[in-house]
Amino acid sequence: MSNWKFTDQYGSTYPALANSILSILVFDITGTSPVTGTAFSANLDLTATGNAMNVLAKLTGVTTIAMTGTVTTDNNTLSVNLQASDTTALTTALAACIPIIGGQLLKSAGISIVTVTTTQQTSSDDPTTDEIDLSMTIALGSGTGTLTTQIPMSDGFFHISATFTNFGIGLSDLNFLVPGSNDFSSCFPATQLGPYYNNQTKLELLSLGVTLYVSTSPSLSVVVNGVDISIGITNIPIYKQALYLDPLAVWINVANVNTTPAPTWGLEGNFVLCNYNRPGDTANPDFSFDLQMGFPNPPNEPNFSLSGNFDNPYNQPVSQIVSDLLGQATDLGIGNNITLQKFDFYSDADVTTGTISDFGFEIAMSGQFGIFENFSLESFSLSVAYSA
Amino acid sequence: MKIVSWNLKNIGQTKLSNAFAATYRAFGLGNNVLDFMMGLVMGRPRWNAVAGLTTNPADIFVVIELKTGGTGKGQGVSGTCLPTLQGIRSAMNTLVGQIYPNNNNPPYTYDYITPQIVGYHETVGILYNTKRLKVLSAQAFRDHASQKWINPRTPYGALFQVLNSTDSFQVVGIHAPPPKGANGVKYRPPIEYCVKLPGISPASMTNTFIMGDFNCNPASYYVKNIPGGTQNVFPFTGLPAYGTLVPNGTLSSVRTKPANTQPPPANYLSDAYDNIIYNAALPGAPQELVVDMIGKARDMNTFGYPLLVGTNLVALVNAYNKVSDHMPVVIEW
Repeated sequence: MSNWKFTDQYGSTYPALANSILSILVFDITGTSPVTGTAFSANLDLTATGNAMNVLAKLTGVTTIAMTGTVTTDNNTLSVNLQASDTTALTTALAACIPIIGGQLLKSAGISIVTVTTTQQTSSDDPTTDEIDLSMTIALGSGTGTLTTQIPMSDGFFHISATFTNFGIGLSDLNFLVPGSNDFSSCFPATQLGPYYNNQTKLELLSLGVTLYVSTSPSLSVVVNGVDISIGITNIPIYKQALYLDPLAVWINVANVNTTPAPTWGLEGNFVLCNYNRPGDTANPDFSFDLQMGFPNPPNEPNFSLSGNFDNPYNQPVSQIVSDLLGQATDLGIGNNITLQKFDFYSDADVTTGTISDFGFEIAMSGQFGIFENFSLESFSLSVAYSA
Repeated sequence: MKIVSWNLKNIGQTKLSNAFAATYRAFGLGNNVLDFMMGLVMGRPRWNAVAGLTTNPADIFVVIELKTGGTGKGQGVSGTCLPTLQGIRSAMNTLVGQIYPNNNNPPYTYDYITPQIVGYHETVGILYNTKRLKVLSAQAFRDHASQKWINPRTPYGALFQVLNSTDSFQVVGIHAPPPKGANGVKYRPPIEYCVKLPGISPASMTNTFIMGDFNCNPASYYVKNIPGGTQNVFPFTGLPAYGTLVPNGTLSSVRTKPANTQPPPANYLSDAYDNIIYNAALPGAPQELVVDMIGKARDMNTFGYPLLVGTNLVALVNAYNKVSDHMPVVIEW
């Protein structure tokens, strides 16, 4: 049976499948089912699937994509996990139509489909998992990274992105992001960072994103709308194994990539405080404090700005902060029922005079203490503002 | 001139690239949040069957609930605010290139005004067509008499000069506090906010457009105790010269899930909160509408472009909630 759909075989048992991408995709098969045991093998027919696959067909220049993978039906759950089995044609085609990641950068490209649904989910429910992604592995410096994107299903904008850990780079490794000038270092604020950046500074790529516009009419074109990069240093110890700056990052956003690259940049950091029982475990902090620094980008942004926002995701009491910092046995006499909800501050500095032009902070706490001991106090806040 | 005002619910750079579910993308209405936004703002064919909505790109796009770092009203924005605006501006200019191919002097080129913080981690973004408009001034507004900020989020706006003309006009973006409390006083927070709007300096000038999420509508009121009795307080009592072409009660606030007991559009929209009020004498036959991007969504990948609302309501509401909990308002003259 050609033009086979997953809903043909599994639709009545797993009604939420009707709301999945698998209800749209059409496969060419020779028998009655592409599934043998748990093994799946069939060609995804882009033409027969229809307009939803038109952009992918134009991007890749192919009409069918061989897919293999597994289909399991354990514990009243249908799990579909498929991958393109021949990535050569995909890689060549995508490198040609998305030049910014083409050339020597693009090492391989693939398509993955993952759908999970249960018999309990109804036709009004969405499947537990339902993804169809395009992935592209690119080489940067001495490493490789994988960019993913949801497959565009109409002319318009789409975004490919990846996050990285322990991915060392040099600025020249990112030259491909500004093909108009082929010099990414011109977008990097090395001068403004002063002594904090020199040729010995080790940089890590934290995230990379490229926004593209695809048009299939009158002919295929892919335009780079902008790129965004976060470059930073992670896990900088500030105090023992308790307080870390994780990360300190430079974010850079570049528009007009192909003509006159226009970067916007700033610094962002995140102080994290580890639980005293988990020293150095920055991935599971008790508290975090986001720090954002805007640097002058005249004429629109002539001033240096700094702001910070406290985040207490688990509503830990103030006494916990003290214990995390100074040790479990530390007792400053602060009750365990006082929670720090907010600690925000901001400051602006006039770069022409070098003086702070504005400063303010706001602290909010909740809990019962002092004269409020017998009240149900929702919050208590203190706000200070200064303007020159 | 076309103005789009849209509360995009905590819009930031990450949100722009949030992709829709594959089953929604298959309708051809947008691949991600940025793509969906641009479809409306730039008058793309996806929405050209909405009555009263032209295919003209916007001349001004006012973004309500734009995310920023910092909390000091009137201060410089930080965080991903500027990259977000830069991404939106770049997308608008990219689409100009698509709409006017091989045209070195298209009638639209967009820039944004660097905003100031209006409230807690929040600001108003204003993008405009530099081929038609010049920015004369832009600021976060204080009460003209007391010189105090309007709480909780002070208005932010800009004065524009129409190029090759003596005309000028102002746009002011606001985000009123949400309703709170029992029915009799539910609308007191947003109404008290709106009652302060006449105190900002632009409100007394003609050709001013105040827009955004009012969290109440012109007919909303609360009962205030006064000596000798009670008084019904309405939001725009102090703005008698202002009006709107949006019919009172036009729903614009989007539910998080369909209310099956309600008739459409109340089964997916809940309150009439978004509007553009203005005190200008507009030429011709101006159009102003809340764009129902759920009820008017069509399957662009199927012949005849059938409406999707009905059996696809859950998917439409789920997808729209990725974008916002408010519909956009468009005015054009």
